[in-house]
Formats: sequence, structure tokens, C-alpha cells
Amino acid sequence: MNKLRVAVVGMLLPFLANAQESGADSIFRSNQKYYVVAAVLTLIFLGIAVFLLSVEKRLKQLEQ
Amino acid sequence: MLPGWTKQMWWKYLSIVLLVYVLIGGLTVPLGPGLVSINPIAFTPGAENNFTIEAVNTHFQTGKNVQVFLKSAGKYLCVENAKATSETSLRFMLPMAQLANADKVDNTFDVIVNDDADGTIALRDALVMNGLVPDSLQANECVVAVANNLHTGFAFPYREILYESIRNTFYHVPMWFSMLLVLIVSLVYSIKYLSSNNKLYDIIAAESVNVSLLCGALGIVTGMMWANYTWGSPWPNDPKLNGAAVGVLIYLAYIILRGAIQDEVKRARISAVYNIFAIVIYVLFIFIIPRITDSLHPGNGGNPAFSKYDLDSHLRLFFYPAVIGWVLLFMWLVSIRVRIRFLEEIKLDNE
Repeated sequence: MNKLRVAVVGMLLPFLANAQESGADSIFRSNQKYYVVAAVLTLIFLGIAVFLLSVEKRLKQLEQ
Repeated sequence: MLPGWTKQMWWKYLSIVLLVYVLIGGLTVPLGPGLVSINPIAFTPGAENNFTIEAVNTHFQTGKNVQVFLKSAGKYLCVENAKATSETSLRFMLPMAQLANADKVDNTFDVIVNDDADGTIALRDALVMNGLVPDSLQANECVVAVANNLHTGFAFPYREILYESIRNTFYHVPMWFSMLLVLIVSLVYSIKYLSSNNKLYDIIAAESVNVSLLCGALGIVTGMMWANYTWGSPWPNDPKLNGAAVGVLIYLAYIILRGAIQDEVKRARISAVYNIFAIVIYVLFIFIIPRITDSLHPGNGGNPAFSKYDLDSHLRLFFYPAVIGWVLLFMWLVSIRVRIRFLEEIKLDNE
């Protein structure tokens, strides 16, 4: 149940960040924050991928 | 015996590579040049009018041959003294003598700017002419001659309303592609179960539906965020959105149905039959009804298809890998869920 709560809250969190105007987008780019966001998102995805690979590894051990 | 694809690794690594490529490339490629605003937005015939244009990602100073045109009712009007004040802004003057055949000119104008670096960029219905056009207005229609129509850099298209949110194309759309594909996998295994009574096929069908619901939830969340930005409301009354909600509810009902039946064989048979009917209703609500009624979505309700205007060659370089990557990632989740369920079944049988 806790996992479900965390998943639901995690899915709703992006709503806290309102979409930005194009002017704000320019500001993001000019001070490099945009690229920090891109890097963090990529790291989060890589974390998910590593987690899936570790589950895969454990499953293989159990199947043997 | 589990199907071979659940244990193969190459397509799982491929999904990681494709999605990292989409994440990095899709977020860092800049938008192309575009016009943001013109000030003032209205003018009165009979007087000289000075305007300022603001733009993004343009090269008005370094790009050569900056020209400004106004377009109304298929006629082009040239402006005078177009002068770049920075890379992203320029000024021009509109002498009233430029209004050719005034009686044929509408009172709204598209503003079009061209330079050699940025190509042709436009702001539709940007300028409004106040009042009626005097019959006595004399003018010259200008001849449009530009050296380069296309933006030369590598960028995503700058679209009014969408702006930077165009990058959501790599997340929102593939979620629905993934959901449909995973549901088709579920359908195939439901049919296989009905023809063989193999319990494993029932497990694959059920777990595929579970993962497809995750795709649907993510599709709805990304869609609501996009709709809030572009249409001003997270859930406008659109048949595609309502159809998507009904489609997801149909498969939630599948989960409830399975939970309500205790007998394993009966549960598997009834849910397999339900699954066959469910996908027909799902396709009806997601793909058919939005196409025959008014809809805000591209390619629906008489709107231009998605690929015609919004998906240019630079977007395609990321969109197709995104679709393949997300589909493979969700199939990976299916394979993990199926293998876990299979191990649980073996454990239960041994006990």
C-alpha cells in the first residue's frame, strides 16, 4: 500500500511545476539550469534502468 | 515454460540506449526561430505606424537580408526601414501608402520575417487594422523575393501555443502507442489461453493489462500537463480525453473482474473472453469516436494530421526511437512481472 501511495504522489509531483512561458524557457537556457534539469532526468532514468537490471539479475538467480 | 522473449536481454539494453538518447537529445536540441509578439498589435490607416517585433532563437543581426512582410487575404505588403535592434528584435515602419487594393485587404495581418539564417518565420493574425479602409488608400503590392525559406540549423520546430512543450511528443504519444501494443500482446495471449488452457498464457495476458494501465496512467498525466499548458485546462471536454478515460476504466474493470472470481480456471476463461471484447471497445473509444466528432487533438475531428505539420524531420529523429524505446521498456516490465508470477506459481505448486 505504501508503494502505491509513493507511486501516486510521484506521478502527481510534476503538477507542482507549472509550464513556463517561452521567455522563462530562454532564461532557463541562458543560465544553464535547463541542462541541469536534463542531466538530473537522465540520471533518474539511468537509476530506474539499473534497478530493472538488478531485478533481472535476481530473477535469473531465482530461476536457476 | 516461459516464452523465450522474456529472458532475452538485447532488446532490454536497446530500450535503455534509445531512451537515454531521447532524453538527452529531446531536451537539449533547441527550438527553431520564431516570432513571439509585435507591438503595437493594432494600427490606424492614414498615419505612419512604427512597430517592434520580439522573437526567439533568431539571428536578425548576424543573418543577412532581413525582410519583413505583412500578409492578408493572400496579398503581401512590404514594410519600410526594417532594422534589427538585437538578434531577437527588430523595428519597422508601415507607411499607409503600402496598402495595395485596400478594399481587398482583410483587417488582420500575418507578420512574416525572412533572413538568410532563420528562413521564413511568421506570426499569424498578429496585426489588426482599426476601422474601415478608406477607398482612397493607394498602395503598391510588394514582390516577395527571399534567398532562403528554411531554417538552416538543427532545431525542433517553433510552434505557436506549443513552444517548448513540443518535447512532450516524445513522452505523451509513445505512452499510448505502448499501451496499445501491450494490450495487443495481452489479447494474443488471451486467445492463446482459450485455445490451449495453458495457465502461463493467462498470467502473461493479466500482467500485460497491469503494465498497460501504467502506460495509460502516464499517458493521462503527461496529456493533462500538456493540455493545461496548450489548451488552458488539464481536462477540456474533448472526446479523445474522455475516450482515453473510458478505455483505462474498461481495463480497470478487467482487474476487478479477475479479483472477483475465486476459481482459477473460470477466472482465466472469463477474463480472456472479456479481454477480447475490451480491446474492441478500447479501439472504438480511443481511435474511432474522436475521429468522427470535433476534437482538439491533431488528426481528429477534421484537424490536420499530427505528422503533417507538427512532426518535422528533426522531431522524427527522436520520436521514432522514443516510441520503440518506451514500447520495449514496458515490455520489459511485462517480462519481469510474468517471471515473478511464474516463480510464485512454482512455489505455490511445490507447497
